[in-house]
Amino acid sequence: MSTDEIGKIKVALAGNPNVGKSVIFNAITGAHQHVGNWPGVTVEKKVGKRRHGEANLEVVDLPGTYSLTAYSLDEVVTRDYIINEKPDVVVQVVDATNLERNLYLTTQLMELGARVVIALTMCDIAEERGDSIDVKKLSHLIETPVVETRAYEGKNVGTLLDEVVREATRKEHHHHTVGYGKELEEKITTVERLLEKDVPLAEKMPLRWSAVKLLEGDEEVTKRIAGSTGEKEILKIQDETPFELIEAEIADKRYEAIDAVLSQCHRRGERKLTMSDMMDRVFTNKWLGIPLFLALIWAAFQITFTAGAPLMELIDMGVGALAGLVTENVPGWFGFLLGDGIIGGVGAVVIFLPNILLLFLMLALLEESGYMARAAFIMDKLMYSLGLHGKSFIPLLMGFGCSVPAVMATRTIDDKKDRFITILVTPFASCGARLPVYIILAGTFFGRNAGNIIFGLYALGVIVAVLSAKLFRSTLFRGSPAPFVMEMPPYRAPKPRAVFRSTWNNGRMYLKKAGTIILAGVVVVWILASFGITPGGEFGMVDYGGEESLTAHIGKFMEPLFKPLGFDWKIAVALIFGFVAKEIVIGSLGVLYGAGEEGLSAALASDPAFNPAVALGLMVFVLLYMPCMAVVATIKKETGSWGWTAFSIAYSTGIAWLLAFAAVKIGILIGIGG
Amino acid sequence: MPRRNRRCRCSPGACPPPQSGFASKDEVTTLCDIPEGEDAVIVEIMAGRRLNARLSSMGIRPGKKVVKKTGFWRGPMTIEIDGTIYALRWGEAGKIIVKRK
Repeated sequence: MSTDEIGKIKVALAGNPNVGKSVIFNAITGAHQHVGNWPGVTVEKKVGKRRHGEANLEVVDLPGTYSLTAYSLDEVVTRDYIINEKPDVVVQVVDATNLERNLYLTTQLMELGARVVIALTMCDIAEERGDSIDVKKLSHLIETPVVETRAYEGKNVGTLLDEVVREATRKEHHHHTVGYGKELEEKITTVERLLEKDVPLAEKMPLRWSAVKLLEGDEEVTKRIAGSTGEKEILKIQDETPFELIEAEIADKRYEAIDAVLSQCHRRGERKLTMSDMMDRVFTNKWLGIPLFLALIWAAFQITFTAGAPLMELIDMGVGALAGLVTENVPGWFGFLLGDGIIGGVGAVVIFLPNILLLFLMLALLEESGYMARAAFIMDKLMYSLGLHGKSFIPLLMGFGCSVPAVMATRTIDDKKDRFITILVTPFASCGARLPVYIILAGTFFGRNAGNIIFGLYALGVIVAVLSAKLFRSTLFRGSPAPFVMEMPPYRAPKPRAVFRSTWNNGRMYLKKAGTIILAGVVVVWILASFGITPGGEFGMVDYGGEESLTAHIGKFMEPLFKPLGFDWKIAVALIFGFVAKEIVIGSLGVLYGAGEEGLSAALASDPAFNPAVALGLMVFVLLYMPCMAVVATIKKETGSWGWTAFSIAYSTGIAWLLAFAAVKIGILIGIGG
Repeated sequence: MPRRNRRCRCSPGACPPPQSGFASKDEVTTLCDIPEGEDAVIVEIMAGRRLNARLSSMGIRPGKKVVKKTGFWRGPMTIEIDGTIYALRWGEAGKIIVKRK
């Protein structure tokens, strides 16, 4: 192929977790990225573009994996992509500090028939450790281009891409394989012959790889051969094969082959005590680990909320001024829709952007520094005893900020059961949007005890989350949490660029949500609150949220449901609005009492329908009832199921009703119900 | 390199129970029973097919020298193999059979 015929080259980026794959991806594609999901699964798929010389590269970031078994979703996604999409080149990012383990994945990529180019990273750390690697010799021995890459400095990315283009345009491809010993090889050949009989199938699947996988008892591959000519005979061979032994034998042979290569080009230095080791002695110490963890988390939250407060006030003022300006200057109902409805409603969500950005900044710092893996490690025992996984802790923690990113963060949990339980209980962590509701209600009805009441609500949220997790684990998702085996990446100073990129990407998603789903929601609420049956019996515009509005009708229709809790129709309406965003509960009450948010406290205190017991019940209800619209949409997206989404709504609202009922009754019993 | 004992009759999970004291030298025991800071060699992993494959792909496999770093009583522990740190639960560590030097 001459250079002008190169055109488009499909590149897939593979590698173990924690090897700096995303750094390389960002260095190659820069800002030209698109984030989406792999079809049918919620594994994130990043695609980027790059022009290199004459070639147009399309780069797909595959999930980080150690192997290509069928045991994890990430691994299935990776190998399916390579088999079905046949990328021209697979760039494997290899961590120089643990070559042996990284090359284990290489042997499998090669077996799949991929053209591999290795991007060697962390060479500086390997050097510090006293390891020495003869890169040229390594490349020669495995007959694969190896490029030392320092992506943070953008070093050698060009050389890497040169190799990619060269590899993609090379005519012949030498298929590399590991030899598995006489006995196994005979079996592999037999299965290969049987596979070959079914020509259409054989064209789609790499023969040797498929044969090896069939002998390992791989379920996905076994499914694929269903109905093929050789199926019966292959199944018969499988019946006689002890899969576990074969799997172990194959792993041994691959490592033997790797050892044979590494013994010629790699020398491991005497392991010295590194900075990272010393930090781990402190942070994962059995006595110090937990107090330090609590201190760090406390600090992160303090920064998120205190530093965010002035910015939030600023946005609040801006939104208020803009809404006022629009309502005054745009005539008719459209002005109200634009001002009160859209700007006010979307503004109520945008106000939290500083908090959200800061929260994500803190999380990015914890992640980039390598501490996050330690946090999961420290919390695993507690989480395990609750029927959860160590990794469930992070989403639960984020839930105190906002449930949307928290539910998204469950993606790091591999096991489906662990993940679903975490998704279902995360909304019980009291998010930032619920706080304004507590502040007004507790402040009005509990005076000096307001602080204790609010703390109690946070604690109640945690207790409900914990007990629900236990309940789900013993009913819907039986079994133990998945095994906890996790690599602890070395500590490192967070790179500003990576931290800001991650913070901004998450913040952008939050804004996008405000611009789409919330926008639609507030328009609907505004219409329901603005229109109704006028006193003259006609349908038209009425007092916003007043007795004649459609919302009042809905509220009155729902009232019987809330009656046992002592909630009147106004509260019912406020709670329905709260589905858009929980802080709207307060704004709605303000409108319904005709008091605005400032005078609400006095208006509530003088309403005979309200008393401390009802207020307590309402706070408990707001804490626990169905998550807001944005969270519901996220749950649907992450579980991929309307059934589980409906279950989440029904379960949380049911619990909210029961506990709010209990709270009101207890309140009456202790004499605050008057 | 010590070979895997292919005819071992122990079923996964039925590994030796955690003992009170630490195992003596040259004794075959589990990762649970070596003290922090000590090293040993992995002899066999009896964690069932799925976890065996996962551990092996992560580089936790028979023949490897392992150092126990820190541990939370009967909670999770950190270990080091080939310069890489891994965390695992007490339960999983009990399925990793090691030989102390």
